[in-house]
Amino acid sequence: MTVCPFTLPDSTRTYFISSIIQNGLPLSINLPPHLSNLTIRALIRIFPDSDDTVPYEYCVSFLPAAIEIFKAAPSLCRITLEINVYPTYPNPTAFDDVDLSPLSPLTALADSPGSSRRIDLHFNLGWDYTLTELVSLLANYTGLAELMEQDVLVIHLNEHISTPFDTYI
Amino acid sequence: MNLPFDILDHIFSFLITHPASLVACSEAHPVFSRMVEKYQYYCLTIDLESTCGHLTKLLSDKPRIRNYVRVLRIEPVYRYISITTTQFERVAAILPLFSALECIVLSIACMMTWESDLPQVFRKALEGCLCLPTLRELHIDHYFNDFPVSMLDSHANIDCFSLCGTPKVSKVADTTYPQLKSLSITGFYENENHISFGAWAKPRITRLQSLKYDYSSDHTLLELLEICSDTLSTLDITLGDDVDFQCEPFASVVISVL
Repeated sequence: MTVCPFTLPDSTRTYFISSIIQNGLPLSINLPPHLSNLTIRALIRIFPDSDDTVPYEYCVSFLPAAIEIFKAAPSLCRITLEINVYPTYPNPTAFDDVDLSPLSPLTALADSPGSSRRIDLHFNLGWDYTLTELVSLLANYTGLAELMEQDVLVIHLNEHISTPFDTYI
Repeated sequence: MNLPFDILDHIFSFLITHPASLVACSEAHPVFSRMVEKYQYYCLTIDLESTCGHLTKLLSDKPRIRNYVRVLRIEPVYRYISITTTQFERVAAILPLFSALECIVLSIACMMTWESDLPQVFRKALEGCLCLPTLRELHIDHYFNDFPVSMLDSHANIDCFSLCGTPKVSKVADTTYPQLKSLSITGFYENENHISFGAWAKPRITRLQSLKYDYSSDHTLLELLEICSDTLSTLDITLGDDVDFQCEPFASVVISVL
């Protein structure tokens, strides 16, 4: 087993994690056929430059991998995506620059047969950021504004996801 | 007040998650006081920092309360403090009093190891609670290392288990496996010295409906999904630091060097 967390070359880019690999090969997850409720908690990590002269050097985003897993589920009734954003230090300006375009395929997921047309998108940000700012940011991406207007896509900011596992936790 | 008892009882049942409202109801009328008790004490938290004196007296004065407690939380009210052996021993003395528990939550909020950090008397008392025919849920939160998951065996009544930490898996022969409907394992790092968690889970999750799992870089999640593919309806996974990944290295220029 080789674990290589974030050993990426220095760059001024976003590295989109497109797939999870195992033994060097992309891993395909065979999701159960009756799966109706899928929650994925994905990470976006923004890295500063090592000498602190540059606020942010690069960003690693697991959003594409999360979307690929959602696409592989045949008949989801409910989709929940939790996006945990970890900058090394809070900088809302840097978050505004993060590319969230991998979320655009959510429009196709909302239209897929068998879907209940309900997608919950949770953002956990460790600094002051309003829901209005977040919605405004997401509206810049193709199709997301329409989904939000139709209440198909529901945005949550720093809200705990309630699951069957933590009724009493 | 002409409402029948069962109607009032039904109304109070909706207040289980609103303890302040139940207290208000109990103070509103002496008749209500007795009626709301079973909901007032439905979910009870034992504070590990307290001397448990108040709780012991309450259980002694009103023994019926013991049967009202269905959800028992054991935790320090002020998180992230160190808990002494004496504090665990006090709780151990109370645990056998509750005879109708359905759910136990042990939430210490600091990293502990099952055998070395908890006194034997407490471990035995908790294990004794698993024998209750009413008990269905056990939640160990967080981070508990080396929690012996074989403790669940021979307790077929348990169908919901969550652990934040690394389970200790050992071979158990000739036992009755619990048939879990809900399993949550987070903060889990596979230890090569242990038997694979997937192998342990195999006979216990064939009817699993809900699974929460940190997606680490091992085969365990895939093993678990394969075992319960016919019944699983809810899945919760985390893609985080410790997965192997393949990236698109020049996908997008989004952050400029200033």
